[in-house]
Amino acid sequence: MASLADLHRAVQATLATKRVGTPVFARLLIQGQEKAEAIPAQLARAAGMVKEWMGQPLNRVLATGSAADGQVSLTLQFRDGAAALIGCARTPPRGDGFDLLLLGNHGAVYHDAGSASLWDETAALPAGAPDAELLAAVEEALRSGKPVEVKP
Amino acid sequence: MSKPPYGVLLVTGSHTHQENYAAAFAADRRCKLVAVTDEADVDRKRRELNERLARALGVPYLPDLAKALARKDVQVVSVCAPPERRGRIIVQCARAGKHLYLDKSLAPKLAEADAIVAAVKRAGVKSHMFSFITQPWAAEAKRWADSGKLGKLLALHADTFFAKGKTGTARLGKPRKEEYPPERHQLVEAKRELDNVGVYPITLIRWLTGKKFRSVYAITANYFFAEHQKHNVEDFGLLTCMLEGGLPVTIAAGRCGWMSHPAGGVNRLVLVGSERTLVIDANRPRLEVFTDEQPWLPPNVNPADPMGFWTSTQEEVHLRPKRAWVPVGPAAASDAAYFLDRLDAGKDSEMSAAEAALATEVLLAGYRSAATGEVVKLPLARG
Repeated sequence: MASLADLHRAVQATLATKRVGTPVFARLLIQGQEKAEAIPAQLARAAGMVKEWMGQPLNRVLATGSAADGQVSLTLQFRDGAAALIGCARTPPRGDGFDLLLLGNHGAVYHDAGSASLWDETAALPAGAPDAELLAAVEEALRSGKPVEVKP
Repeated sequence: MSKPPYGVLLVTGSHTHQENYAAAFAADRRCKLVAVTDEADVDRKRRELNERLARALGVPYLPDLAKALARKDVQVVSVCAPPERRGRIIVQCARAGKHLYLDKSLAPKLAEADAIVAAVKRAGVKSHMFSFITQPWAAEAKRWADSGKLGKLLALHADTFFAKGKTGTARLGKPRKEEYPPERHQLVEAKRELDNVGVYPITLIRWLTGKKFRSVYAITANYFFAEHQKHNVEDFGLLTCMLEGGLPVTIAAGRCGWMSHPAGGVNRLVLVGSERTLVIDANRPRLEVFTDEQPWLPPNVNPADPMGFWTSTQEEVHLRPKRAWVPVGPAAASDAAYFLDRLDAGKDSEMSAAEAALATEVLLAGYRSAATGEVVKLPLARG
């Protein structure tokens, strides 16, 4: 079973080849059965991964939905114009529990949960604590429902 | 109720979606194409393009829309005028008592969309805007959404991207500065792609859920094409929305290059339910075919249409079909056939002008949000 850490490495390796050019947009959907209180940290870790792919400082975060309802979407805006959507859904997962669409200015990268191992499992996120500033931004975005500026 | 055969009048000709819509009407036994027409004062280039389609279809070109609309043998008008002229033309056609088959999106301004809805209602005519709701995969999504098997619907996520155009020419490095209201929508080289492409997932989600959009946060960008950047129109758009009842929705849409996808582009809808998640992909199920034939390559750039908007311009540069993915599943009936079915039944379309106007409002809220950086509430204020 591939984990999100495996996906992260594969994406980084692909981006390093420059085949898809400069990454400009990512859509990452994570499905699993995490408890509500774990969702902000999960989102912050995912946002940290996407930030590494984009290679730009994160400027703004907007959250919709709620961890209590088990469904949150983050909208990320990066300094140089890139953007991302990260969805986290507490729901029975498909495949390895994550879908990715990543657009570069010369191509695209896709990972469909349905193309993963042929069994269903909760998305496995990288171990360790998320970036504290990212986590704080995600929590504030969830609290406020408004776009939150991220400190450089 | 109108009865077939329906006389179909085509407003505007080549280098519009009329090329496709006219073909769909012509292929339907219930229809007879009457003529191509347009406003009397169109420029020479537009008139030549209108005459070109009329010649190709073997019908006359009637250079005065008002006179064409006075004909008794016209029951249906297919309107593909450029967005900037679309609003007033649709209103004129409705006032003439003709049923309306409309290109997307409905109109670029809220006042125009409202005027269309009012004119259609007053005239008592049927109306329909082209959309994805007539696609078999959309019907499948609707069946699941209505089945209750997903449990409580928690969120919807939709991605629609057209894999067309020669990409990699936009200057990157800073966020796009959006204007509100958006001024230009369609040029020879570029369209506003949040509007042009984003209208599909917006209308689809409204149709699937029956819920109205209540707030929109949007980002527009220039990621791919110098042509879009040059004309200050976006090639990418993203919407984070809330529907009635607190249902979150995200949408990403745009045009991202010929080589970005093995088929026509990403067209995907994720319905997250409390019991299960449904992924509807217009490119699934499929056969994946690998052969020793030459790999697919994009066509040469046609200066008359560098983004590949129109069928005729791509035929001129010998666009080859992508053949690596072969759809498995029922072939779609044409969108025009759906509209004719509704006319036969005396019913309005599920994508009537009133429904299409709701999408216009969401798009405008998106442009306002992208310009201000704020969450925009719906409905928008009038006046």
